[in-house]
Amino acid sequence: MPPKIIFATSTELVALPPAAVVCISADGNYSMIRTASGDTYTLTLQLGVIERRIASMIDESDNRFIRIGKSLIVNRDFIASVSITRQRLVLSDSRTFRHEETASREALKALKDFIEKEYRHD
Amino acid sequence: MIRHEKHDIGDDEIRVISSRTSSGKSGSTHKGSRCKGMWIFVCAVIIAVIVSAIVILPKILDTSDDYDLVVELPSPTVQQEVTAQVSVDEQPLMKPYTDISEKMVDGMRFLVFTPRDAVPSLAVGDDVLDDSTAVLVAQAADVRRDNGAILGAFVLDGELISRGQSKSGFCAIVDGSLTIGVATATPMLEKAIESEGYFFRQYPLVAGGCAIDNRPENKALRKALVLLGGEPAVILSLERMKLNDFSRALVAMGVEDAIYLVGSEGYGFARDASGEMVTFGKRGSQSAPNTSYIVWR
Repeated sequence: MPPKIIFATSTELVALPPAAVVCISADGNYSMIRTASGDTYTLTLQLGVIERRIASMIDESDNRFIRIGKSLIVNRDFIASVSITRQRLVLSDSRTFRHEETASREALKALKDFIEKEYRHD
Repeated sequence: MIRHEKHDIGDDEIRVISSRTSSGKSGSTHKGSRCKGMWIFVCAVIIAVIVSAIVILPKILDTSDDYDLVVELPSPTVQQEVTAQVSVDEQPLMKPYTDISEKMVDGMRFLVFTPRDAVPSLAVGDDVLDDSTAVLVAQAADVRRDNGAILGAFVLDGELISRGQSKSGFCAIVDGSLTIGVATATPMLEKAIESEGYFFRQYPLVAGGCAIDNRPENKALRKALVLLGGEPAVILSLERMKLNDFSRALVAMGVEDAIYLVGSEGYGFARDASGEMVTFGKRGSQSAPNTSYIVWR
C-alpha cells in the first residue's frame, strides 16, 4: 500500500495518498482538501500547519506539492493551465475532473516561470 | 490578547514543499515581483523616519505643551475609575462573585461586570440561567434566524459544534484562561479543541486599545466582552448607542481588547459579593435552543 499523508486533529483524521490530493485551500480557520476522486475534506487546521505536516510525511524526493501564496497548496501533477491575466489556475487529470482556483498574478507568474524552468532542466 | 497571525509566505510567492529542511519548510521560495517588495521597504523607511521625527522632535525641543499634544491620555475621570477598580482586585477572596461598577463616558452610562475568583466557560441552552453557582452569565454568539444554528465557529467542551467564520472577532477559553482577539484564522480554535476548551466568534470592537469600525449604524443597548487591565469583564451600555460609538467609549474606559456580545435584550445576570443578583435584558419564555452563554462560576 502506498504511503499516505495523515492529517489529524483531536477530533478528525484524514489519510490520503499524496497522488490523490489535488489541492488544499485555506478558508479562515479551515483548510479544504480536494481529491482526484472528487471528495472534499474540511479540517480545522490552518494551511501553514498542513504544509508542515506534508513536508514531514513525504519522501525526500517528493516535491509535487507547491504552496501558492497564503491560501493554496497544489499538487503540480494536476496543473493543467496557468492564466496570469485571468488569475486562474486549472487543475485537472484531463479525464475525469477539472477544478479552478485563483491566485495573485505575481504568484501565478512565479509558478509559470518555475514550471517552465523545471521542464527546461528536465 | 490580540493574536497577530504570522504569515511566512506572501500572496505573491510560491514555495515547493519539501522534507529536506528540518522545520518542514522548503527553502525555495519564488517571488513574482521584487519591485513591489522594494517599494514597500522604501515606504516603510519613509514612514519610520516621519514617525521618529514626530516622536523625537518634541523631546529635543523640550516643550511640555508640545508633548501633551503628541501623547493622548484618557480623561482624568476614567483614569481614576480604573485605578479604583484595580485596588479592589487585590483583595484575596476565594468565593466567586462579580464586581459591579458604573462608569460614565461622554455623558453615557455603562455597567462593568468583573468576575472575581471565577472560571469562564461557555454553555448552550437556557439551563445555565438556573445555575446557582454561576456568578456572571451573558449571551455569547449570535444565532442564525433562518435555521437557528450558532453563527460562526463554536467550540463547547472541546467539541466543534458549529463551523464558519462570519465575524473576525473571537473569544477562546483554554485551560480556564480567556483570550480575545481578531483574526480570520487563529490557532486558538485548535487549542480550544485540543484542551477541551471553548471558542466563539463575534464582531470585534477593540483591538490593542484601538476601536474597530463596524457596519451596524442603528442605536441599541450594547454589550461587550472585554479585557480591562488584563482581566475579563462584561460591559453593557445603559443607553442606546451606535456600535462604533460603543467601541470608542470602551477605548476611553481603558479597554484593551473587546468583542461584541448579543446586545439589546440579550438576557444575563451577575451575582455580587453579597450574593445579590443583578439581571439585564429580557428572559424569553422560548429562546432558541442554540442560544449560547458565556458563564463564570
